[in-house]
Amino acid sequence: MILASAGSGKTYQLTNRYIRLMALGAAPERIIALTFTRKAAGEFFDEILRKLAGAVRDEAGAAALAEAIECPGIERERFLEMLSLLISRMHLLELGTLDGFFYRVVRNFPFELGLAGAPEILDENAVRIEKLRVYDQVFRRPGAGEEARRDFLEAFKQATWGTEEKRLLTLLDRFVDEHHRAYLAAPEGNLWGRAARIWPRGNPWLAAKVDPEKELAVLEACFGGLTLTSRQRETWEKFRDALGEWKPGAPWAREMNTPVGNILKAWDQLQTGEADFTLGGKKLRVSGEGCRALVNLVCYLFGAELEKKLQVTRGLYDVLRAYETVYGALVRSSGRLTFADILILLSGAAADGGAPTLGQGGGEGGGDRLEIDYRLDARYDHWLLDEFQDTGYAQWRVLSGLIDEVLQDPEGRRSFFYVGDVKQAIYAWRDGDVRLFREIFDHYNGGAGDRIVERRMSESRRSGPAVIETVNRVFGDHAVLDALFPESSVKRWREGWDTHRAHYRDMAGCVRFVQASEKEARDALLLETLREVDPLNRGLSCAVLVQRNDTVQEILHCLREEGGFPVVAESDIRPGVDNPLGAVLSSLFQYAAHPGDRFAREHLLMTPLGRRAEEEVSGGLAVAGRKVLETVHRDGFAAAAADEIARLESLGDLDVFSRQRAEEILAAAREFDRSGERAITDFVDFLAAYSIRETGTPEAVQVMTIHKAKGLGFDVVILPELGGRKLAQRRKGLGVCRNKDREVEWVLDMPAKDIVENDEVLARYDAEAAADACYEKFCQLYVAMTRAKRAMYLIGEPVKPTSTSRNFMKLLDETLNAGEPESRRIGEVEADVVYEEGNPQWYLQIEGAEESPEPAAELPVRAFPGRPRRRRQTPSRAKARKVPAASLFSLESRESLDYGTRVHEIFSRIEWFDTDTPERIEAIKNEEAEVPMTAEACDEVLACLREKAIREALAPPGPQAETWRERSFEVILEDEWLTGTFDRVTVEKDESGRIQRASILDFKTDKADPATPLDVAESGYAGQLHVYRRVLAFMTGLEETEISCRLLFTQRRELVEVVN
Amino acid sequence: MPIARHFLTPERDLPSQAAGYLARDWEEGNLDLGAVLVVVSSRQAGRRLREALAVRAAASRAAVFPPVVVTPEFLVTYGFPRGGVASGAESLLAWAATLQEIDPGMFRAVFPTLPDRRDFPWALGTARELMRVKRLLAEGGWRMADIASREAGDLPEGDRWRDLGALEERYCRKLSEAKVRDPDEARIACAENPVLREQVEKVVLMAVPDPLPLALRAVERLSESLPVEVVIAGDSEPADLFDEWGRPRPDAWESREVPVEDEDRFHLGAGPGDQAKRAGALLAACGQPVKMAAVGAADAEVIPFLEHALPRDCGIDGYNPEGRPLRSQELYVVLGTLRDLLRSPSFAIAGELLRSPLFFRSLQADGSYPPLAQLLRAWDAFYQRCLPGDLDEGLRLARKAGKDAAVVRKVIERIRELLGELARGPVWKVLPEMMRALHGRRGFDESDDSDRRYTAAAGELMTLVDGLRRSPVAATIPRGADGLDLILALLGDQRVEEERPDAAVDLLGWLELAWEDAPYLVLTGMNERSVPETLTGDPFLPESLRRRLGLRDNRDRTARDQYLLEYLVRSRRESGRVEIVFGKTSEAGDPLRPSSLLLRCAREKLPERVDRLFAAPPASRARAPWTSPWKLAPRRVEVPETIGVTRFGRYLQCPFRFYLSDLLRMEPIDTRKTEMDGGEFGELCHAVLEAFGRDERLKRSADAGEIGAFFEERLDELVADRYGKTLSVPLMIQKESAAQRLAYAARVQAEERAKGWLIEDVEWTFGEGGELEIGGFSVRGKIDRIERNEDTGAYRILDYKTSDKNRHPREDHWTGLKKNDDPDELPGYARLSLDGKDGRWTGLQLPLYRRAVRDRCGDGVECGYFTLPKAVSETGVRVWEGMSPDLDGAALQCAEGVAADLRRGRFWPPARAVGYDPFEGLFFGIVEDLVDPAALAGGAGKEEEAP
Repeated sequence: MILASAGSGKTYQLTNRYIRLMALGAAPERIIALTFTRKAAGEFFDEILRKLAGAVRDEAGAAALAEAIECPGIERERFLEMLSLLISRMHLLELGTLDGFFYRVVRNFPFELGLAGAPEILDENAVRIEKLRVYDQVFRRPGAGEEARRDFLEAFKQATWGTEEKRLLTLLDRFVDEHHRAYLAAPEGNLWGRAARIWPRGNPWLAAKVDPEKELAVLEACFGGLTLTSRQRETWEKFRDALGEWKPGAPWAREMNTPVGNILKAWDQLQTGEADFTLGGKKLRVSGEGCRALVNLVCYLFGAELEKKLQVTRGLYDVLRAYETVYGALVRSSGRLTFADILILLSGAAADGGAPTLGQGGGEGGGDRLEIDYRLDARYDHWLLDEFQDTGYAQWRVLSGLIDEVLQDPEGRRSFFYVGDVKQAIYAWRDGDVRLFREIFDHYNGGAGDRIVERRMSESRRSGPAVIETVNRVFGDHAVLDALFPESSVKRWREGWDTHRAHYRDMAGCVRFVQASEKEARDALLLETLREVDPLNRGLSCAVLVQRNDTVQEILHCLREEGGFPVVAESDIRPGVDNPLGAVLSSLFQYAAHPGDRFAREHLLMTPLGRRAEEEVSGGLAVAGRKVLETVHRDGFAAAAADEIARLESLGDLDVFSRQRAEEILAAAREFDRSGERAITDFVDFLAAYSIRETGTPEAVQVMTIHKAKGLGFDVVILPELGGRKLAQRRKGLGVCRNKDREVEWVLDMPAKDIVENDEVLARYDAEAAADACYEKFCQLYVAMTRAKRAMYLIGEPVKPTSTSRNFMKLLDETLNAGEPESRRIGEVEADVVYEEGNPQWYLQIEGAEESPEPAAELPVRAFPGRPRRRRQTPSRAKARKVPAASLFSLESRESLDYGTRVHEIFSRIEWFDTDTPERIEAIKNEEAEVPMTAEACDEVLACLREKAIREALAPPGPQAETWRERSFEVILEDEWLTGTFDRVTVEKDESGRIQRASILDFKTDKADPATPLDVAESGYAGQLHVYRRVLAFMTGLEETEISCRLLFTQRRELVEVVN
Repeated sequence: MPIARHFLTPERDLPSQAAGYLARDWEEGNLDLGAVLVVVSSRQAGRRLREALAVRAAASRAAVFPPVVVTPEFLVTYGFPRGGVASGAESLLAWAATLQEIDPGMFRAVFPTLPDRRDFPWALGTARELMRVKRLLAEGGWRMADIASREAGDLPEGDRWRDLGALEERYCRKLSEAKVRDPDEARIACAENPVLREQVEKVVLMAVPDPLPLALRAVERLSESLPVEVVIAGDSEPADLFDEWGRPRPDAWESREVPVEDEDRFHLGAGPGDQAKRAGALLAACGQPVKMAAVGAADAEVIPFLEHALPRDCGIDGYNPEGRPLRSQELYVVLGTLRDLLRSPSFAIAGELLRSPLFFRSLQADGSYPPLAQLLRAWDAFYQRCLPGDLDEGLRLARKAGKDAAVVRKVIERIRELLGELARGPVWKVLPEMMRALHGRRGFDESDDSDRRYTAAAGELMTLVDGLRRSPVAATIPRGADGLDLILALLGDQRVEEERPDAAVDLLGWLELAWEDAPYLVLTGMNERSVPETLTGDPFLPESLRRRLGLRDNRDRTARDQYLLEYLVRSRRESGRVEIVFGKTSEAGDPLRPSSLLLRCAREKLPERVDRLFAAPPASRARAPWTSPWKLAPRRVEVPETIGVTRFGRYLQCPFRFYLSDLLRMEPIDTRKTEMDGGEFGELCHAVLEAFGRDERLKRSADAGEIGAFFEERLDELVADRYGKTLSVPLMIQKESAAQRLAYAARVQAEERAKGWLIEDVEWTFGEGGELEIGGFSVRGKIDRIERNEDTGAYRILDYKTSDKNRHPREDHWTGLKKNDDPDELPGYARLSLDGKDGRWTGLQLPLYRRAVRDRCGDGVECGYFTLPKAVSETGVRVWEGMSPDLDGAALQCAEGVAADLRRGRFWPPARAVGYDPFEGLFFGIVEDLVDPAALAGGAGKEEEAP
């Protein structure tokens, strides 16, 4: 186990470990290395290969790598062997993501997991469409009838506690988004909103049976005996009236809050029967009955509120279960899965029988054991897990069987290695479970000594001394942490904390913390800092890190518009909706499908696209819309969008930005088209939700959230958004209480703060959740600060000395602000510099960016001898061109096609007609009776043969004649490649074998209307026969005029001469 | 007879050499190869060979009687007896039927977890998987049952194979009951006893590096009676490079270097789009791509990107001879929609059908339907109003709606008719009839690309349908949705070939490239797993088992691909060039690695090669700043002479948005609507209250219970009338919400009545006759309720409000100036100080009502809201106490100001800040930069399009 601090080289360690295992003789395909992001997974392999290549290149490289992997003495040649081995096994290597590995398992065990076949991974768009289908089913419940809908309605009412909601779809979507994870963690209804589970020893509020009217009367009597000021009297009366009107479940009136708070403040005293209770701003001494009545009223209020929350939670469960049941049946069980579903399948959350165990036992599994080695063609001896702090408990449970096998290997030839940084655990909201790190260590080391060896790394190879010094000051000041934050959060932090050291002691850099009260001033400071440091012109990478996604766009706008900086957002951009082209295309599609949408129509008419359609297309926009529908259905959305973009482009209506967006929109459309869907509403929604990531480039300032920055490093980091709520605050939403085995104990829609604080169970849960949140916040700030290599600029609001906020600013202020801020002009802005470490002008030591070398010119392409690619033509292509739908979809015409083939076939058996021919054909009838249509085809041929002219056409014209029957040909004529088959050709030769004459006979077996004159029927074939004649002329060396050409209409038994 | 091997040089292109080889004994006349059977690797290879033969013959002014050209896959079906072997459809059906018949619990080794449902889609999915396994096994001549019996003992998963064998037996029995054989078993038999046309005198295996093992068995058997020649395009030395069938031997190729010398031939693209871009740039640089170049796509994912990038970057089309997947064709999509409708006759899915050209054209052909735009407007309007869940409900409601929804009713009836027809009989029987009916007299022009594609798709469909019709199992073919599922499953994997444009570059799959003779070859998708093609893991046939059974495995494929790459490079060494493009990530973002074959170089070169191939991907381009390519120019419409009272408020809030919402009537359609919007919810409550106000007896009642009962009953009627009896959950909830609000309203009504207030009029309209004129406009309005107090004689007018919040009338008419408001931008008439606070008018409804009822009720009539908010305890009458003659005067002045501005056509500038802005998506927060205000004063636009 390696606990590695930021920048101390986790990937470096992991790749070294990989190479070391190989050096010790492990086959690379027996080493599995898993991480969380696909990007990181890709980098592993590149890094391993590059390291080995470096070691192969020269002795010094080999020596350095040998030392790094602690295998002294390994030489270049050995590294070369390893490199070659690695390359030859490339396809077998498992260096990927946990999600990818789990998917492979599910893909290879579909029937074991109750699927019908290979699963399909749903992308975001598909998930959204599936969810809408599920909602529709949940809402309408076709087949389930009124009762099921009523049940759902009742659940829904309970979940929303009767507060009517008009946007039900939106609300259900929100429920599912927010609580689906909780449902899957606790799919049993008896965990949701059950008082007995939450308070096994009972809850005083719920137990109290109070008649409020009686208690109010007692108090009335009690206050009557006291002298109340007019304000006290007024406050009391308002409280009394409000309470009188209040019904359990309704929100409390404002007038009730203060008195209830004051009762709680005097709670302990009230229990004694004598208390000073504040009413109307003044203390009032109450005793005896009065005390009891006050206590009882609060019990009544709290009890009712808790009862409501219990019911809401149970309602929520029923709603989620209804959704989940339909989702499971409609989507998951049909094998359409998200990565979350895959984990559900593997962790057994969807099955009744519990989770399967993964193992490597060579294929002979049993019960719930899935032996992965056989089916995955892989046996893993060595497990390397990266970013382990982000591993979730469910993920670990899936892996644990496999890891158990490793650690229990009797020969000890297998290994388990995990690395991560408990200080960077910022994915708890995505089920990342940082506690696992230590629990696993303790579990495997329990009793048996040191099966897992711990190593800590705190020397940063990323950040320079100024940054490291600042990080140490902020996170190593335990006194400040102790004073500000919950004890358990700080304790956990300390356990993972080591004072950091900078590996590159001489790296120039600086950290500056400035404060300004106004938002405008802070924005200006951001711009001025960038101007001062000028990172891009110095060839330095630079990132602006923020907490929220919304801020990314704000800052992006500020830097682009006001600062004129080249900037990219490492956040998602939405090409379908964030620009005029996307908007107009959306309107066009929307209008095409919904011509009554006046919004879309008028929007179109405001743009060149709509105006031109209205002016130039006959029928105006309505016809243009219909064309769009037709194109969409015929060729897909990408084709339809490309048409419109080309139209705008050809009219000169697109600028550079829109052209970039056009490419992105087309990529979106192509992606959508792959689903085969043609529903415009789905596409318009897809386009609106489609997002892409602007990827980083050293030529631009990158703006991103701290979460996105994890794993990255930048020369310069600016943190301009450090405000926000207190750190120790439970995440909003359901309370999900788990035991140490992560099993859910209970779920509750948490009540208001007053109640939580005054209930032992809820308060304990709240404190734990707040401490977890606080720890995660520490991690977030730590990640933000440790992204900086050389310099970091913190910009924030001044913290008032009286402030009791326990947020980032407070922490930074307490640890960095020595109390004597220096007022300084930074560019055009006056600001207080409260902290500075390193050389403020460090950037002057950095030389300008190296000119990037000109890209190597493409090698000149030699003019190679070209080769024409000819179009392949068949004579039948020259036939009549219109195919009526009636014949296209006619079974009869298919039958007649088959029938025709059979007739052709029988004719092909006749070399020359002679008297035995009819008899031979009669024989076919019997011999090939099982072949469909034989008898009819034979009869037709026989009927033809009864015609003299036909018999003659099939008879030898002379002694030197020969026939070609069903003969294919390939020929290049006038640079055109012709390919086809003659039905029957007769060639006459002279005695020397030279061809003198030739004739073509083409069988037409379709039913020509007997009333149609044959020259009309014939005309459709003239083109085809002309091609045959040309080909035959070429093949025989005859003139075309020397070749006769006849059609034999078999149904009419008529021969028709086709004149050239 | 002995099998002879012949080697063609790897230094030249394959088609011309292959043609030369076949024509080597030809002297004069037409080149007659009719007695030769040539086995080639693919149909495309066959085409290339025939073209090359034609070219070779043309050089001597001759034509070719071509050989019989077959693929290895075809060779083993060559001798199938007609009608005796099950088609793919029949196999699938037999498997599906077998699976539906069995008790999966009896086959626990195959189904350790019992499936949740065992419907037809489950059976179909499972059947396809089992068919895949059976087909793979057959490649090596194996049956499922063989694996358990012959390979028993140390074989993993022996129980599973035994169970599979038992399932296979049941499946085969099912087929034999129908008097057909399993096609895979027929293939195995055919390979044992190959049947050829009698005139074949020789068999040539022409450069097939990776033949189906079963096909080799067939060739071997043929060699017993016919001469067989194996032609190999490769070096004859060292001798162990190829086996007797011309397959590269893995052992010999493993240690061989790939002769890619020039480092500049490697091009790294970030994703598939970038790969395509690089390929486009390379082609553009080569001068005459149409004549000289071809593009290989080892990774099919790159093809769509190439199809897009090539026309853009070098002005030429890319042609994919594989064609387009049938599943993206119009016909397939329509069948899918019909299947969905059969499974769930939802109104929304019916809307999709209506929007499909095939269906709407069929309606238009009928002649009794309006034009499409009008039809869709009617459909949407009906849905938006009635929210029917399914077609039955839709039909009931449309019938009730009468003339308004007549066309909708007709469409629904037509769709139900179609669905009824589809469900009536087996799919093979009903589908052709339905297709003919839908297509009517339509004709398809074979010279038109899209028509040809359409007919090709239709042809595939009809071949399939025809096959089902003739099948001995025709009677068991499912009907309705299951039947269409079957059709879709069978059609989905097929492709429709397209016509090759004259000026195009071919986009070829990896295995087609050996037969490509373009001198300039750009290979894309040269990433590991694509080249060499490697498979790891399989639910049934993992690599270890495949190898053991002698099926093609990764080593074979690696040797094949290495050989192919070497051939592609060497055959262009003298007069051509190969460029190699590979990607860093897939489209989904998965990391990719360059092909390991590219690293098979001299050992001393390896570090450099690693550096070259594993470099960081090129930085993405700098992004252009946000700009708008145009200014939006709203069309100009005239201001109507009559204006509703509520419009003044909207104008006051923002004149420009007023222009858009009230004059252009820009209202979106909520295509996902599942419930009433706020307006409709209010309308519903209004209608109940209106009915109450019109009931002469009840309106006098002060009995909350009686009033409440009336409300409830009326609400039931109204909801059932509009939405039918089967309500969706959201509508049920909304109905309950309305009921709850009305129940409270009943109490309030009773209280107010007790105070003497009696309704005198409801929904009292004014303005139609020009009673209220302001600034030359006739102002119209509808007052929800006029009532009079029986005790005091005072009048009161009330407006019903059902918004969630309980708003006071004043809040809707006036607001104080905000910090960001610039008073100078406000017209004088809009400003108003109230209670000493600077502010402005935001609505004029109630003051104008007062004005309108002056003649009837006198001056100073009380005005207010009857509110029915979400917090029902707050239900009540809220009167605007502060109304006064001065305020009325100011309001009138304001209305006159607005009227004058309307006359002047002043709709600009827009208000800076508005609360909720429905136009945000058009203006991106910079409305003033994006709109051309001059347009508002431009020429009048056209009105709604003509039908």
